[in-house]
Amino acid sequence: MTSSKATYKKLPGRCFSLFGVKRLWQGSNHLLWVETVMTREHYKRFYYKDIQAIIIEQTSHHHYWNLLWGILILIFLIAALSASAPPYISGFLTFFYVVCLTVNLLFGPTCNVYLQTAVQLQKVSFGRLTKALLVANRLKTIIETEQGRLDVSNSPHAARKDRKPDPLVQKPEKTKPVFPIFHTLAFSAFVATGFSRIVQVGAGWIAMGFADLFSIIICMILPIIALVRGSSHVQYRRPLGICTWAGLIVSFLYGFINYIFFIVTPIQNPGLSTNPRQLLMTLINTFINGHPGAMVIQIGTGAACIIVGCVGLLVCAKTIKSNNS
Amino acid sequence: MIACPNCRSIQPADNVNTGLVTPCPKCSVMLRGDVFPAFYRVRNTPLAASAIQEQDKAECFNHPGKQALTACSICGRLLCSLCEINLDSTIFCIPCLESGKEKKKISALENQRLLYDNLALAFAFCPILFVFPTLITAPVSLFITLRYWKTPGSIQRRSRFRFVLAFVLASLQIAGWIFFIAQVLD
Repeated sequence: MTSSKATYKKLPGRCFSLFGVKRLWQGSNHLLWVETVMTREHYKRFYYKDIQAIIIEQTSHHHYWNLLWGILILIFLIAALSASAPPYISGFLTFFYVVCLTVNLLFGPTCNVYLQTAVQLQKVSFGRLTKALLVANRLKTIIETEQGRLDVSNSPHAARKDRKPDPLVQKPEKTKPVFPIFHTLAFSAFVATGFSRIVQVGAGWIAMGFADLFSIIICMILPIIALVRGSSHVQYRRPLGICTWAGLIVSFLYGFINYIFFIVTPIQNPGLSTNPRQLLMTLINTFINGHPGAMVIQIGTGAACIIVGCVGLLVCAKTIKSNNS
Repeated sequence: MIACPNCRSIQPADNVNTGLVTPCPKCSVMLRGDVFPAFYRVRNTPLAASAIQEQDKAECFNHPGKQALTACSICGRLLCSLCEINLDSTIFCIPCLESGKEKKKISALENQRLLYDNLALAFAFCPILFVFPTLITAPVSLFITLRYWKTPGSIQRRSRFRFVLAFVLASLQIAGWIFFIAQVLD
């Protein structure tokens, strides 16, 4: 039996999904597409002799990231400049987002890469465009060694200019006219939560504090449902996914900070550990009109929620408009 | 010709194999397409097994009267062009291929694996946040680590770091529980 140990070389770039990661590996006579979902790996092999084409499509996702980092820099810069006390937290966050923006600019444009065989068109990822071009050149050499070089002058290009596309070649998925309901709900929840969180800092209403804690759960559940159900609209699936992921991360971050406060508060006030109601009230009070760091976190995460929500709603609107046309 | 992944319009021949990123004529998305000779390969229709014309020629094991062209590299059965399966330059007959797939001895047919190291690590790491479940998950993690230590993991070569980490974490959790129970009993 052929049980020889195959050795694979890691290719750059990877795709993330909710519970897993997808990555391409270079083997001796094939490319291996590995989809890892939690504790299970699924494999697809693309033999060099079967690959018909490599298609690289430049995308504009890096612009969304630039926009996101830019707005966050602006918000925290304003917060740092307007603070009366030394702005340690907002200063650190501004610096962090500047680094993020610089890294994103240095990496360059994003792209999608597709491998076409006689029976499928598989979307893979090589990361950024510059890296994808390098990898594509390397793979081109390997594939041409396997298949031979396509003679451009004698190629059937000219003869096949009016050739109909191969019916067996799987076209990119057909778009279904879908309404991204869960994405829209999630983004609306982000916007509402963001506004209420910012208003709550100024108003100092306890009821809004409770509502904010409840909204954390909503802002985690809705994006997860949206990500699991996904959207079958090819053109805007990725931007929708990015916005939803960004919102989910902000919600998780805020939830985690709340959790830290929840742990720290009874340590500082041991009497509260036996009184959950009082503990909750103290926690809400800390966020509403207590610690200046907590207020910065409130305003920062609130602003992030509004930005993500608005961008997401715009993408949703584009998707719906595209569906209608 | 290849289609634009964004608008699915067929790309003109001038845009293909240029090595440059060029705009799609319809949607203006920047694209680069590299086409290989496999694109123009004529798809082979299954050949009928050729009948034996002459005396003293070997016949196929599955199709008596049909000329054998090759032999299975595992069991040595003679096979005609219909029965031979060429996989990674090795000739298989159908039963050998099936048994190879069942016994997971043909790596090229393997399309999924369970990653026991990830599983052990998940059992050792995730329940830490909730503390109490570790009473059950730590021994489970330890069991998986010891039971599947030698089981092949990912198809790519990777170290047993996850197993080691899971073992250390699970052992610490069990030690912690033993210490806690001893304190309570005292």
